[in-house]
This record gives sequence, structure tokens and C-alpha cells, in this order.
Amino acid sequence: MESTNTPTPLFEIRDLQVRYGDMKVLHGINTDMPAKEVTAILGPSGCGKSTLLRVLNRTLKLTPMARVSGGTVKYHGENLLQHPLGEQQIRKRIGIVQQRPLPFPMSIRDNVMFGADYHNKTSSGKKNEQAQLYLEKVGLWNEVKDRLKSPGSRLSIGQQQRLCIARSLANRPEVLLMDEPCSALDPDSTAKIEDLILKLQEEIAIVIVTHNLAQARRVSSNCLFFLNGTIAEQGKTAEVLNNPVHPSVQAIVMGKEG
Amino acid sequence: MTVRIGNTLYYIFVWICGLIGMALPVGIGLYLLINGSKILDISFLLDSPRGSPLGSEGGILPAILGSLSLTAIGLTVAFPASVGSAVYLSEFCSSLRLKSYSRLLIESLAGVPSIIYGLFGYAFFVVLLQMGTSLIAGGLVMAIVMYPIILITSQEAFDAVSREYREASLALGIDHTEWIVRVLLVKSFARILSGVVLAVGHAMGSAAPILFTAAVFYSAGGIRLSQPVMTLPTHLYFLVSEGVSFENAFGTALVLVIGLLVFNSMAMILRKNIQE
Repeated sequence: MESTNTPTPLFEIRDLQVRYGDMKVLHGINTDMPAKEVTAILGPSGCGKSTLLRVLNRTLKLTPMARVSGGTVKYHGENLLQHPLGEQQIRKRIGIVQQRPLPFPMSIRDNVMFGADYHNKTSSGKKNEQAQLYLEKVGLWNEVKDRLKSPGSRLSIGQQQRLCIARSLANRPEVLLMDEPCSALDPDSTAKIEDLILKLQEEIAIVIVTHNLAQARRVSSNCLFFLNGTIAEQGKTAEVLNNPVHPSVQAIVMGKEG
Repeated sequence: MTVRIGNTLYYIFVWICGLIGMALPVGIGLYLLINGSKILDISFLLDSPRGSPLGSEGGILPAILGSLSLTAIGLTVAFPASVGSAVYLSEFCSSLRLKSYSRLLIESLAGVPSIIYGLFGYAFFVVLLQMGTSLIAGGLVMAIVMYPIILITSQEAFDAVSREYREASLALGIDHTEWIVRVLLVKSFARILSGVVLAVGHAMGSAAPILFTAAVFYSAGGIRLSQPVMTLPTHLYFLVSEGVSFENAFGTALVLVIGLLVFNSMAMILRKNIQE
């Protein structure tokens, strides 16, 4: 008999429910997310996409009154919400890039090495080497190599977003969650970040929240379509976006809604 | 037509208000400069009060040193205490009720007339803790005067750092201390500094809190924690209330104002450098 060796999904989410106070925002999410692939999360504003990312990165509790009220999330087969590695290590392994670039009040080099330095206590010489590595990875090295000591906030918005991605990558995460990373960027900067996502998927899993259907087609292999705190459709991106079954998803994909 | 007249009148009103805002400090400054500059020279700054009645001649060096020492002690105690309290209220206190009550109390404390601080300082530090009228007792009262002002501005500074920064920092797996020390405090420092400037200006110019706790009319000795000191605002008060010398009083006032201007300017330069 031939054995089917299906790899364990990176995340197994079952009946996940999240509340903000009395308001339920996720109503029983069920999905699996594979390793080393790009998964796009689509859907209108306020349907719980960013909330799911916060659950995965274990930062939900930083939002006042937010809590997981039911269900399970497994990461490599273990309960993510009470993972033996602890909250800080999980946040290191499952990095997140916010919608708005948020450089910290320090130099470009220190921004890149902020998390990595905390976790690994790198020496000053090695810090420069490491910073160069991650700045090259996000295609920012040539633009900033002569001003590594100047503040991160002096960069353009597009450069700041790539700096924030470099900062997350320097933590050497296994998963990178991206919450509408291009929503504040011009087309040129957006293209650079999309190229980066395609390159990174060879090394890590990426989950990207986006409103841009074309972007989801360009960068992701799988997609989840959220509507009102539930997954209305999920599957291969091309399949979901070319042949949607749910009427509201159809309307959004055809451009009649949203 | 009516709208145009209304707009013009409003424009004129705003201009007049702006002019008053500019004229008031410039006018007071010029008045002090004209009256105080007659006496202001190096010997006035470096000499002790002399003459009969005492203070009608000589300078104000002990008062300058006393004011600087009181402010330095006050700031050394108040700065870490108030910033620490603000960090607790912003980052660790989860009870919204406790936060709002403490806010109310701190704002009330900031509004308390400074003579009340003086009376409390006298009863508590001078009498109860037996510190006597001394630099340390006055310095601690100064700290109480500065505390609510720095605390309120620090808390406002922390609130102005968006919640997204907190999330972005902690999402990297760092601990709370790292976030507070390397991001929150650094991002808020320029605003906290504004609070320090306000507090120092307020404390340095107040005579009432130190009148019963630290100040004497004349002090020939050096600066010691256990000894009373001369200060600029109380010296000014004695010179005027006892009719000793109006000329010296204006000179003293001018030194006090210049001192505050120098301190504010230094803080502004530091704030600009930090922001850059």
C-alpha cells in the first residue's frame, strides 16, 4: 500500500471565536494554513481579517477588551494560545508587519536589529553585518548604506515599510503576517514589496491581509475570503477569484460591491 | 455681504488677540529690562547682599545659588517619581476607574495654591520630620510642586504615542521593559521635557512653597542641605515688602526671568535635537 505523506499544516484553526467585549467579531473560523506558501486574506473592512492576524501573533490581548472566546489554533500541531514556547518566543517566530510603517525612534541600523538584538544579544560588529543582510533582503541596502546611523523616520513611507519588514525578518520568523502592508504606498513601492513577498515565500510562510484582489492574485497561492467574521470561501486563489460560489464574494469579485 | 462683514470683524478680533498675546510678554520683558538693567552687572551677580538696610547694596549670588539648588533637588526627586507614576498609570494600571480617579487627584494637586504646599511642607518636613527650615525641606516641597505638572505632561506624552507602536514593538517578542525604555520613553521625551520646563518655571518663580520651609532673608554661608538658603523670589519679596530697594528688586526679577529664559532655550534646543 502506498503511504500518503501529507505534511502537517502550519496552522490548524478550528471554530475560532473572538470577542471585543460583548461584540463577536470572529464567528467560528475553520481553516488550515500551509508552510512556505503565501495565503491572502480578503474581505471588506471590519470583517475580522486583522483580528485573525493578532490571534496568530499572540498580540490580541494588547487590544482592550479583546479575547478568544472559543475554538482552537494549532501551530505545528500544538495549541498556539498556550504554547510551551511562551508568548514572546511565539511573537518572535510569527512576525507581523503593520498597515502603517512604524519606524522606532532610533537609527536605521538599530531599527532593523531591534528585535533580533533583544533575542540574540548580537555584538556591535555583527550587528552591522546582520543589518546589511536584512536590508539587502528587502532591497533597501543600496538606498541607505551611507546613512545607517540616521533616524528611520527620515526614510520615505515606502522605504519605512521595507525597513519594518527587514526588522521583522531579522527576528528570523517562520511566518510573516502582513496587515495590508501596501495600503499606504505608491505603485512603485507596492511592486517592490510584492517582489519581496514572492522571494520570501521560498523561505517562510506569509499571510497577507489585502483589499486588493489583483494583489492577492499576483502574490498568493491560497486565499481566505472573509465576510462578517466568517470565512465565506477558501481555496486556491485563482479558483476562489475566478469562480466564486458565495453570492457576496461573486459581487465583490465582479466589482458590483465593495 | 453680511458674511463678509462678519469675517472681517472676526479677522480683526483675532489679530487684536494675537497682538495682545505678543505684546504682554514683550511689554513685561521690556519693563523689567529698562528698570532692572540699571543695576545689573557682574558684581550684582557675584556679590552678596550688603548695606543698611541689608540688600540695599551688593548683589544676589546666594539667592541665585539657593534657587538653583532648590530647583535641582526638586527636579532630582520629582522627575523620576512623576515619570515613573505616569508609566505605571499608562502601561500597568488596568483599572479605568483607578486611572480616572488618580487623574482627577493629580489635576487637583496641580491646581492647589502654592502657599498650601508651603504650609504642608512646614508642618510635615520642618516640624514633623524635624528637618528644620533647610535646603532639603524646601527642595522636597519644590519636588511636590513639580510632581503633578511633570506627571500630567508625561501621561499626555505617553497617550500621544499611538497604540500601534506598542503593538509593533511587543509583536517582535520583546518584553515590556524594553518597549518602555527604548521606544515609549524615547518617543515621548520631547513632550516630557516640555513638562519639565513648565514645572521648573513654576517652581523657580514661586516664593510661597519655600517661604516657611527653606528661605531666609540673609545667608552668608555656603549651600548645605541642613541650612536655610536665600532664593530669588523670596529675596525679591523681602526687598519690596520691606521697602529696601526697588532698583535691586527689579534687578533680581530680571535675573530670575533671564534664568528661566536660558533654561527654556536650553530645553528647546535639546528637544529639537531629540526630535531630529
